[in-house]
Amino acid sequence: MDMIFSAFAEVLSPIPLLMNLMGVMVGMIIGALPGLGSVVAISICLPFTFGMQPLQAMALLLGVYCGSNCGGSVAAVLINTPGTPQAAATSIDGYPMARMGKGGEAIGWALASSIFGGLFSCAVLVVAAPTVASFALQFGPLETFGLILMGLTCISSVSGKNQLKGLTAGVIGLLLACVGMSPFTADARFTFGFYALDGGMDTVAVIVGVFAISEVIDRSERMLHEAQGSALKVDKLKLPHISAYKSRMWNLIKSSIIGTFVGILPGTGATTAAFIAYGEAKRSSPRSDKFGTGEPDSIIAAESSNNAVTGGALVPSLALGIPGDPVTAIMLATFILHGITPGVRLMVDNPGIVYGIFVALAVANVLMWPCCCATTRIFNVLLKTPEPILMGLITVLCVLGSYGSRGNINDVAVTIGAGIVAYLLRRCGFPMPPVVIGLVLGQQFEMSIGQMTLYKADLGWWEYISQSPIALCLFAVTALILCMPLLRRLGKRSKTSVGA
Amino acid sequence: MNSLFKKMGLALACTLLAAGTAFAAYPERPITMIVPFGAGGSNDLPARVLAGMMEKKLGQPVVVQNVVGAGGTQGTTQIAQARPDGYTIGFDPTGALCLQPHMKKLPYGVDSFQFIGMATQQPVVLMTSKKAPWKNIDEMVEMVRKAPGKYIVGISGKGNMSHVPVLALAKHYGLKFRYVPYRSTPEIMKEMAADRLQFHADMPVALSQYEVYGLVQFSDKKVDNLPMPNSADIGLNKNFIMWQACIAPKGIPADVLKVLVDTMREVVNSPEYADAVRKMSMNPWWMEPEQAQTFYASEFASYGEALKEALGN
Amino acid sequence: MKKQDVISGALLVALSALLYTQTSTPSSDMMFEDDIDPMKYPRMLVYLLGVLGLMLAGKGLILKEVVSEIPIFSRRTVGIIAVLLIYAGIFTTVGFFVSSLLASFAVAFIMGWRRLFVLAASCVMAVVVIWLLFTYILRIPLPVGTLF
Repeated sequence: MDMIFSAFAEVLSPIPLLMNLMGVMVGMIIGALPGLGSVVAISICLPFTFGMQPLQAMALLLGVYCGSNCGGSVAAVLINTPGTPQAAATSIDGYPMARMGKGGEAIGWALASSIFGGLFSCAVLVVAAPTVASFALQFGPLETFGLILMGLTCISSVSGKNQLKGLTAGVIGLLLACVGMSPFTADARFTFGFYALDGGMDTVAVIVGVFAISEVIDRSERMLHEAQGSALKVDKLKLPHISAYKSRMWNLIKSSIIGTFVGILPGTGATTAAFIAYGEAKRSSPRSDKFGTGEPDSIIAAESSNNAVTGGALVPSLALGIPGDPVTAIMLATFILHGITPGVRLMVDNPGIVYGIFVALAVANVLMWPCCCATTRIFNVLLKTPEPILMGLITVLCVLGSYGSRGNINDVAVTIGAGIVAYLLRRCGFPMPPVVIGLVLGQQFEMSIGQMTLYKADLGWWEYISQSPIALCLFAVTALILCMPLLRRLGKRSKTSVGA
Repeated sequence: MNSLFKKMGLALACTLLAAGTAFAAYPERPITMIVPFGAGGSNDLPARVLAGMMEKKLGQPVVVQNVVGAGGTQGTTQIAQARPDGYTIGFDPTGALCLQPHMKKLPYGVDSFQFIGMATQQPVVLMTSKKAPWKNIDEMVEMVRKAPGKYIVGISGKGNMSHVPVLALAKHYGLKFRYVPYRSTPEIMKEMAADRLQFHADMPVALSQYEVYGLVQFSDKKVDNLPMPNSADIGLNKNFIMWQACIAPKGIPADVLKVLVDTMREVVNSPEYADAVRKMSMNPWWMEPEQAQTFYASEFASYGEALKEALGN
Repeated sequence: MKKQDVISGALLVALSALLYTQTSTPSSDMMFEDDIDPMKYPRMLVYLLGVLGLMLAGKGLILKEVVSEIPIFSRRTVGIIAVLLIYAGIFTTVGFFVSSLLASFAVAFIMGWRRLFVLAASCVMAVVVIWLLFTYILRIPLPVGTLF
């Protein structure tokens, strides 16, 4: 207990607090720029941490981590451009809300849910890190495969009435993930002889193209057919009243659990978490028929889960020294630069820094509130520019963002190509989120299939799978999710026939 | 600006005047240092340390840019194809320079680069989990020989620096492992902690970070902070040294190259640099460009041989 | 007949055929004995895409035509697409500065903004601000052309 109090005292002293605040603000702004996500934001701040105390460095990096997670959603809601991949699910309902003139409200929901998700995962981290981390270790290729399979069922829930087209879009996403070097050999695939494609399709570049560039093309014609004054309404951030959460509490908690859990497992990440939580909310929410037209439930699910990943990813990082995502990998590298050895002995050898991280993470989540208000205000100023000029600027920012995300010149062409194709697909009634789900999960999906075959070796498939109760469980849940709509329809039919 | 920079600028101006070239004093704008791997990794951190120290001496920002993709070959290609004006340089490790060009056709080859100098070197270490049933290399060899194909090696890509050394070792002892590719070292370490796989070959930095210990280092010299047998001890007549070099595209002007080489030499030989890279279990290593170039050519050839041998046909 | 579905379905079938030809390219000569066939999994996906395309086209033949009042291809959308393609083409050769200036100007112009002086001024200002932001604050080097 003493440790916690002294950690509070340390983190809340002026310099670490300032670092934390700066981190959140910088992360928020970089996150809001299309294409530039958490990893870019952290690597920009990395050189500054070389000269700092370890705790100050951590406060800065944790701030950037949380801030960039939240900043991506501001852009997703207000201009339909997910600033970070994990905010893609937020834009599904956030942007329609903004179009209805309720942008401030949508950001309010997003912010409140983010803070809740972040604090929830932080609590899990503090209370149960070692126990949960050892559970994460049980996830090998087979279990990961099961989890990804479950994630892929989201394609069905985000496609709504258009299941066939949704599935097609999902397959297109999976195929996009195959482009480039095979994970198992040095062979290049689907490159048509262009060396430039060897590096594969960058997720960020495709997402920016699919959402933002296609929106620019779409708006150019659509704005002619709309009544004047339907342009984006500008208003201040409005936090939802606590009573509004009454019927949505379970959704909030459930999504936070999903986010924390996915964060703990190495190799998946925030985008996956957001879509799984979205799919789950869509299945269970009483307002699921309104999803896609501006329903806060979907924003709650996406935002609380993607921000809960932050605490989750820190669990294996702090308890085992095994980073849960690229961002925590950079944080652990910072430890090494400061002469602190991460690993199982971290909590024993350096309890001060570990508790400091707990507190800094919690504080960063709270600091998101003022920073998000400020960012929204900046955006409101930007949104006052007339739509044609704004669209021109968005185009430029998107192209630069996709270039900056991994410095690859070819990604510019990928973004624009993806944008044009996505526009055509959208107009033909194909939903776009399945493309993103396929792309994000695809690489790990193929990887885990290959790893499974290698691990299995001479065993039979059933013999191999039956060794893992977790995998069996995940498969069962997947099957249940897929059969649920059928069962429900059958149930309805028998009820009506009894009634008649 | 500090006086050192002034002096350097003055010296540079004099040489330029003497040479009578039309060049303004290099560098007059930020320099980009391409790193072909992700931020925070063991190929990125030393680059950032080097860039940070070089920019203090050069008086212009040296910006690290991570160009990720295709096992480091995308970034390396961008270095090779950059305009040779000294404003784009690169920081590249052994694998992308020596091994990948043998694996597949690439837009760069052994003669695409002008070396500025070497930055670090450290032997590749074969690591094993502390949970594994053996305690040293002899026991390991015995147990693996008894159960061919049972034990698994985690690799971070086919035919790269985590794969080829283990293949050479397996061939030397006549062992049979299974090789499972993963996307990153942390994922492999997770599997190792869960006892799903037993071996991984990597840079020594992982030794202090994870619950693993080294069985053998692939070097015929002993490094003092790595207490384990080396390849000479086990009779494996091979070196797998991971070095990292600062390179530029071929055709960079001689005066620009000289500025870069002088700055880098000063940095790499400084105690601050040595301190910083030792924290990452790396060793500072300076080599003049001409020697580095010949060394690279010989390494390139020997890795080609090693790969052919490892394929065993 | 729902024309869009039939056309997009047919195009998807064509795409999967095209991708299929890519999966049968000979693999590189550097093969290890325990290698997994890198084309097996993508080939499955290609089959799946082909089947889905067929289903889509078949279903489209039965469904009723839905006419949207907003055309897919109009002068504006085609114009924007052209501008974007040119932007991607000249981004690396001309450099970030000129290409972005042209692109932002052209997009706003096609979308119906006609006060050219205001437009030019705001584009120049925005591009300069973005350039400063990327180069000096974010420290992400942008490609520069021969002129800038």
